[in-house]
Amino acid sequence: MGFLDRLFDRKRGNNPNAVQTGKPDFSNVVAGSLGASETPTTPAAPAGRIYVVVKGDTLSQIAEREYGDASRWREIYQANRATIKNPNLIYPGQKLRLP
Amino acid sequence: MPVYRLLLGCVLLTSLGCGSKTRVTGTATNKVNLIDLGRSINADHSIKDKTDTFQPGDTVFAAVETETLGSAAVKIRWSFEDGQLVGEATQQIPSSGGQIRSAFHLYKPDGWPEGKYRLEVTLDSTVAGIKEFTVKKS
Repeated sequence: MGFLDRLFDRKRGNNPNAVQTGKPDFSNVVAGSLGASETPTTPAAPAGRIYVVVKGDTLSQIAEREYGDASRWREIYQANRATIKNPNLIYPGQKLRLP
Repeated sequence: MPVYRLLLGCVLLTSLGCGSKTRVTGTATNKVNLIDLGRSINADHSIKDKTDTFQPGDTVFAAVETETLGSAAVKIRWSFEDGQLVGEATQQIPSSGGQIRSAFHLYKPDGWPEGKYRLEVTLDSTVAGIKEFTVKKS
């Protein structure tokens, strides 16, 4: 394989369109709405944050990232018992309340 | 005959009045008050940590505060540098209107290319707000 062939293959990677278009591929982007709420006229009381599950997430990973402690996944699970039936199964796009 | 003319006149005046009010409502009172971006949101759909700079692995959240007198469609369009479409989403404002905060999210599993991005907000097909942000590795 010549130099140009190797260079071309390296640039192309797994996406043959990358060199042809020169533009990034956004076909796998997940874009959505999380709903609407009335703007409160008074400052909101401290409340849990909402986290939107993305592909590959687990409760322990979310706990590690949000709290710095993976073992706190149980707190997230307990706070979302109404929507999480099995703590090993959460889904992309699922909204979790972080206590 | 005079009674018939009187009734016809009332109907005509009422129709014109209603039409004018609707046009004014649609053009003068629907607006975007605020566009915030960040990496996470609160339960009330406000942004927890506002920023205009993100890292490739971040999920981008947008909170759009609108003020309308009735129902409206809030549509957002995410684009990259020269206008390449990244994603779109729509949120319907309820008929009660008022000050409403709509939240949107954007995520790319394999990470965002570095560069400048743009968020365009339209209210019932009229561009009502624009926000730009940057993705770069720290």
